[in-house]
Amino acid sequence: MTTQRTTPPVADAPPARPIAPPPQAKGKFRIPTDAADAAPLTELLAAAFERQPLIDGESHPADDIIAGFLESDRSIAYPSALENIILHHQDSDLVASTLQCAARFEPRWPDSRKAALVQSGLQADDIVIKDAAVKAAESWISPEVIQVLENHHTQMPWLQEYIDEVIADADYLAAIRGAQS
Amino acid sequence: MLTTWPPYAARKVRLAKWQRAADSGDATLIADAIRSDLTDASDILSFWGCDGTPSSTDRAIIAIASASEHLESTAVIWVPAADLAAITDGLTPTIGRTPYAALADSHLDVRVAPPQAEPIAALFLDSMSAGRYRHTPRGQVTRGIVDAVKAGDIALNDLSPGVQRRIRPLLEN
Repeated sequence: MTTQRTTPPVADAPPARPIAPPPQAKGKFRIPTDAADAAPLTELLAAAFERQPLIDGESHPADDIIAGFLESDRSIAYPSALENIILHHQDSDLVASTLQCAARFEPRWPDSRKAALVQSGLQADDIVIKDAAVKAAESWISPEVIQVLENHHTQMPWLQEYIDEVIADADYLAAIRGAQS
Repeated sequence: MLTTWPPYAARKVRLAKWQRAADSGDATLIADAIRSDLTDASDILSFWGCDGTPSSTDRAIIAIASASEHLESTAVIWVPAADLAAITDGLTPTIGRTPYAALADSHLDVRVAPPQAEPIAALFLDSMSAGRYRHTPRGQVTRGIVDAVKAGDIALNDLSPGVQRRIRPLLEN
């Protein structure tokens, strides 16, 4: 299942930095830490989601892969390998599952970069990615994310209702976000 | 445990996958939804009895979400229990895996042989068309769990560590 997707601009994303130092190892996997090294991370995540579909609310082996990546990703080069998958990969289910899992964490990226991921997901044709984008918005709620949600409108009633509820509940979601950091 | 069958049986789903399958009718996408939500290594699927009213489906959602490891939006689709029983190897009342003790006895195990997954998927798609689904955002899920903890219906220590960490500061408000 593939979807052609566009990448939104990131107004205040930091300039790309030189390739990061050699990635650290975690377990028997090498965790890639920058966009140039995205392929191994993609393969790890694709294999994990192929073995076991992601289920809402339930832990998944991809959580550990993403946690390991975020822990070892000391640079703030944009886009990171993880963002690169979410922004550019053509496999809709991989993008959706990666975005939902990533939103279980608090990457050190500025909120504008998280909002860009939400915006990219909302702009996808596939409703599975749109749904993952709203889930990410719930976790990464911020003024930037709210603005992205307010600017998006969909024909799918339950999804539009979901977006409206997230906007209306932003203060409470921010309290939940604060509790996880 | 349930002594009579409830009108409906609700199951947690990734609603977007069923919406995508229903919209397209594409066999590959239906198979993907089956693999995501109607497959279990034990061949036993977890359902929650409900009567289709918002309060009953909300209770099912809180029973499910309070057993989760991450606080995320939660969706269920409910299907007629009699129809589900007719195409599977039977519905068995069991104690559900949830910290919400008062809801645990509304749980049903449904034994499903692999060939039965497609007819069950057809029931799910019918329910999508009939509007028998409910999607509850993260904020509402969290409020439901917080309220249940405050009311003493859920013991905080029975929640997963990750959910406890997020819930604890909210209990003070």
